[in-house]
Amino acid sequence: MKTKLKILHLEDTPADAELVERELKKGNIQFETLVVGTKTAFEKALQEFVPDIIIADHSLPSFNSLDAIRIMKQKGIKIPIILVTATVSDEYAVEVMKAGADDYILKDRLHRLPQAVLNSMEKYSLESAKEAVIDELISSQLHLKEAQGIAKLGSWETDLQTFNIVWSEETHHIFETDLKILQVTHEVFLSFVHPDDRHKVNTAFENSLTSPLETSVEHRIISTNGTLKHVLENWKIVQDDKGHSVRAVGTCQDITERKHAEEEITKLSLVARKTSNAVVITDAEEKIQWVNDAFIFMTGFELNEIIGKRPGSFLQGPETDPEHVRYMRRKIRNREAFNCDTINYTKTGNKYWTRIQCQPEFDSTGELTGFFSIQTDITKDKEAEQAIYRLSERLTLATTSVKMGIWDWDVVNNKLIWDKTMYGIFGVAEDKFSGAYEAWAATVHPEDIDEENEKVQSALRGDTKFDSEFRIVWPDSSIRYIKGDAIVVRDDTGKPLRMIGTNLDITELKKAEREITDYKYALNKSSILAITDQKGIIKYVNKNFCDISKYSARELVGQDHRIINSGYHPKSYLKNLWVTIANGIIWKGELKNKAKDGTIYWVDTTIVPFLDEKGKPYQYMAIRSDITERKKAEENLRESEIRLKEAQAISHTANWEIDLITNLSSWSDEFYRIFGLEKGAIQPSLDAFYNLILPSDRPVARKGIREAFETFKDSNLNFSFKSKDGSLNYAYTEWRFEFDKDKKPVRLYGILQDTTERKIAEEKLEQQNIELKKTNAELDRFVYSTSHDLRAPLTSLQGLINIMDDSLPEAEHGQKELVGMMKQSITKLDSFIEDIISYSRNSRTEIEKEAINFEALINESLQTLKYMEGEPACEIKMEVVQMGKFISDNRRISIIINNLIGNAIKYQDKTKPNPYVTISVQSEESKAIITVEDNGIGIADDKQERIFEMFYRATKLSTGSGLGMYIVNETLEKLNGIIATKSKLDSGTTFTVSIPNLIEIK
Amino acid sequence: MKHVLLIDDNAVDNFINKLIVKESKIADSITVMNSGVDALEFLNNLISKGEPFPELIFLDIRMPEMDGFEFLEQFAKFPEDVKDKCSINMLSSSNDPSDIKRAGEYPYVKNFFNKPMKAEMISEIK
Repeated sequence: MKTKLKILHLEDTPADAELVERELKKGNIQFETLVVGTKTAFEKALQEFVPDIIIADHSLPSFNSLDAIRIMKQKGIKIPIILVTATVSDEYAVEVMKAGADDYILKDRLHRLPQAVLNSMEKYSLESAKEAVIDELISSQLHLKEAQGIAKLGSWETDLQTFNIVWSEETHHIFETDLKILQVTHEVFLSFVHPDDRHKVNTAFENSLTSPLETSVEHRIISTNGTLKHVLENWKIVQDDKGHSVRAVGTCQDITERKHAEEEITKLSLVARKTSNAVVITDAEEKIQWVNDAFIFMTGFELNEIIGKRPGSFLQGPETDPEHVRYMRRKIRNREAFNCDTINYTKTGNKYWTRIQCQPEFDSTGELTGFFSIQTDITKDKEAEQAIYRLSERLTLATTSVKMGIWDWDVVNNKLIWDKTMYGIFGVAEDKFSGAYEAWAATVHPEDIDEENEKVQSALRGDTKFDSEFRIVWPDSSIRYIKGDAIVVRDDTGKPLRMIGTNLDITELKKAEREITDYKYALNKSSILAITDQKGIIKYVNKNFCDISKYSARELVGQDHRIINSGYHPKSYLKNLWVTIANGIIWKGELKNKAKDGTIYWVDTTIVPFLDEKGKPYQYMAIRSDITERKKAEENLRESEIRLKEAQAISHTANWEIDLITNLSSWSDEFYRIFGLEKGAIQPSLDAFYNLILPSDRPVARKGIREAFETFKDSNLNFSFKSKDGSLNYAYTEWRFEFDKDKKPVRLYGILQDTTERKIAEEKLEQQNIELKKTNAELDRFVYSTSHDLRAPLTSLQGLINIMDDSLPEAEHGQKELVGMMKQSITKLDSFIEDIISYSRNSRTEIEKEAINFEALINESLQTLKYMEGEPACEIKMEVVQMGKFISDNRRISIIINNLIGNAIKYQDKTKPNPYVTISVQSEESKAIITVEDNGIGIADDKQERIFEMFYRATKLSTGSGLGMYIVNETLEKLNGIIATKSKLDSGTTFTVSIPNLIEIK
Repeated sequence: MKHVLLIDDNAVDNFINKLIVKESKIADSITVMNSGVDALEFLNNLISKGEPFPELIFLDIRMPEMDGFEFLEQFAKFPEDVKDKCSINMLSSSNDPSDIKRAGEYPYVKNFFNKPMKAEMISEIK
């Protein structure tokens, strides 16, 4: 029950409204009111306020209570309406009540209002309850009818005695017959049945008469209006107590739509099966239940391979966009239809673009039964789409990147219009541009403006086409290059009206042109250039080319490039060159060319083919640089390498090195040869080297090399090794270290020499030397013994003669003379033997180095000479100055001194009162000077140079062998000494001897 | 007066040497030995008898069995006190400097004379 009564109050006077409200409150009615005064507000309130009751003033400014009632009726609103009025005529009251007002109350009787409201409300609630019951009844009858109608199911009953038939209303409806007119019989019924089905229907009916079961038959009818319909009839035979069939009771259902639907489905499934689009039907879990032939054709999968699988599991592949997959999954999860273009793969792995249209299928209860999807191969569409996309992209790029501005100049009114690009090109803001010719002219470079003005004028006159390149100055004073083209639009008389043109910013182009010019210049200056056509005919040569080839450009152009061919390179080399460049590939190499005067020059050459639009070379540019000097140096190097190899082979010297950074060894060819190995037979290494050495020499070799690596000092090593034939060979190696700037050793390199032959020669020599020494020693002993054995009897003889002489009295002159002559003979023989021995010793024996004491040596000599027979005494003066050690051969110096002093004494001038001999020695670090001076008989000038000859005697007074000075000279030669003679006949002789000190200076 | 020992294998030389020494009148006794071996034996006898060594010895170099230098080697082995009054003079026909030098290396060798012996040599020793 509503707590508050909603009252709509039609009233235009607030005081009356207030009055009514107060009365209602007095009557204890719970209510809310809405007061409206106009027709519009009333209509609105009916709709929105939804009142339970209406209280209306009779007359309102825009409408009256009759209108209100009419509006309510029109809208079908059935609620009480009570009129409140000040005065009312009876006729009017009757009219209003007739129209539908429920009550009316005069304003002076307002106290009656609450009761009237309640009454009216009660009356209305009763009525509405009654109406609800009626409505329900009607609606249930209607529903039955409707149900039959909706189901298109009619019923019938046939009296099997009379064969009259009673059809229900719906059955009539199906047959489109009139219930009230048509008397239906079995015959009538059959007349509606499609002629082709009549037999079937009749047979079924007759058969059913004896059957206890329900019979069902489907057939066609042609309705009264001639419509072909499908109907399904079900019936049963009803029997009486005696078992006679009395009635047939059945239903008749119009199944035309279902039939059509079935046919439609049949047709559709045919379409689905036969369509070129692939069709996939899955269950609710997306597992394939069925696919059509087109799907099999499109994907290459057979139905049995994929049934029960999810399509995505075998169709998607590496290039399938994961975004697409996610999208489809989401849609499927949400059971939503979707379209998606994506990449799928066939069984053989070919990818194709497919458009998937998928739709979820639900049964009547809204349960998901599966998905139905159609897939269309759109590969071609996609390709086309992409091609178009690329094309449009390129187009966009082209249009935006080419900065071409367009301008339009109204010549008559001097109005210049620029498009947006123009402002960009000129660097001018749109609001700063006045739009006149002068505004453009102001941007042009001052050096170019006169020419441009003239060109514009010329174009306007029609003399020339406007086609110009000029510079402009930007507001930031940077300079740009512009290419301008324009046409002039004229009126019929030829008067120019407009000039329309384009401007292109070619600054970059200009820069590039400048760069190319610079490059060209640089290339031309730095390189030897030639351009030939595709056949090798020279089209262009630069100065450098002429300089090196010594031809003039005129001599070269038009000639075959072979003019400078030196004939040095093999044909295959040049053929390769031509094949390379003819294929459009750059060739690089070194060429030996011949100049006009026959001189040869080498060039480092790069030949660049210039290709036409078909990719075929139409000319070649050869860029060369002179490498003659380098080539010469290379040739020299090569020659010296060859010579080195030859030298190494001859001298049996090899070289080797170890890179101390990489620890890699390398051996020269000769290295292998020395060890009797094939070149490269062994990988060079230190260990490999050790293994070549005779095992007994290895420890020493290892020690030597180890020390070298510890000290990094240059050193050497002698070792022996077994040659190929097993004989013992000798080798010598010597090495040095190379250091980098940080004093770190980087390389060890050395030579290796086969010293076998030398070693053998040395050994032989040593052997010979030993033998020779032995021979010499034997000879020495022989000479010694001989001299002793020869002289011993002589000395005995001398002693005996001396005794004899002493024992002879002075009177025996004759005998005394004889004894004297005997003495002389013996002395001469003795000194001769002495000389022979000295000579023999000097020529045969080695120098025996020892310290010389000149003073002792001279004293010994004097001691020996003291007893010289028959020599008168003479004054002997000696002066020895010896500074430091003097090393020489004692015996030889003794021989020299003996001879010189002996001669000085022997050849003294006996006529002179004071014969003397002065001996002086000056010994120093480098040499000793020995001077023996006498005032003896002297040597004649013409004989002086002969005194050193063998057996030469300068004076008849000589008692010697003529060997003395010869021996002195020979002995001095052994000692590398020299002798000088100063002599004058009758006045004396001075011999000066210089002997080098053999002391080793430390 | 002195005791002089002459050592030489040559009988002629011994004759000459003995004569010259005798005539020089410096010796009260002269012993002549024909070889180094005999001379050593003689000197050993002197030691065993407790008699003094000769003051003067003339020694030849080239002798059979034991030459002069070998004798000097053996002589060096005699006790210092026995030989300190004894001076040895080489008397050889050799004037080979190496012989002279070698002889000089022995401290008790005082002179090196070449044969033949002369009276002047004796007087020089005195």
